[in-house]
Amino acid sequence: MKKTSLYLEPELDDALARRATDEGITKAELIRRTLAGAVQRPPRVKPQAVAIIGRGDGRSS
Amino acid sequence: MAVVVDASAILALADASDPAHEQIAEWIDLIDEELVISPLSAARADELLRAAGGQQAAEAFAADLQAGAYLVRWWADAMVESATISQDQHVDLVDASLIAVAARSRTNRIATTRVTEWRRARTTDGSDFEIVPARQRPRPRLLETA
Repeated sequence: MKKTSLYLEPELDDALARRATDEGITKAELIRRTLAGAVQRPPRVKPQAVAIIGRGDGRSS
Repeated sequence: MAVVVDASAILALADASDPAHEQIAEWIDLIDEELVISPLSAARADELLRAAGGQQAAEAFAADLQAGAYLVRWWADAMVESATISQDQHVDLVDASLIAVAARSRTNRIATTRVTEWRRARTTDGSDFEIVPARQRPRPRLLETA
């Protein structure tokens, strides 16, 4: 595994420690699982009805 | 945290001539949160889009609904809760439904261009809504002195 460092707000650090304790895993493992889930999640579908009115269609409100 | 989206924001997103269009479009592009609406607000957005852009605009919004770009939340008691909120806060049923949806989605964030109305509204626990995208504050003016 590759070692990395990051800064966390104390509140987030405490929350991570509590959650890790609740789940019976280390804080590092919780962070790894959370980040893995975040990067594997497909990107959210964005609205496509963007700028479809008001550009020369003569029907703008 | 999810973001509730009202019909004015959906219209501003669709209408390039809307003063809030660029800001809403940039914000939508950046965020990764669920965009939550109610069936009542979807109907209002459809009505506004039809009035402003005709059938084509309404169909584009329908396509977004089909694709899951907006999460439409509703449940068995949603109308009763919305009616109660409407009476308590003196807002129409559509806005009341969004307040109910916000509570159900555990969020106080609302994407809207109707800033005055939503500043008056309260969440079901009595707190303010956070209106997004935040208005950019005008730059401080440099005062010239003689």
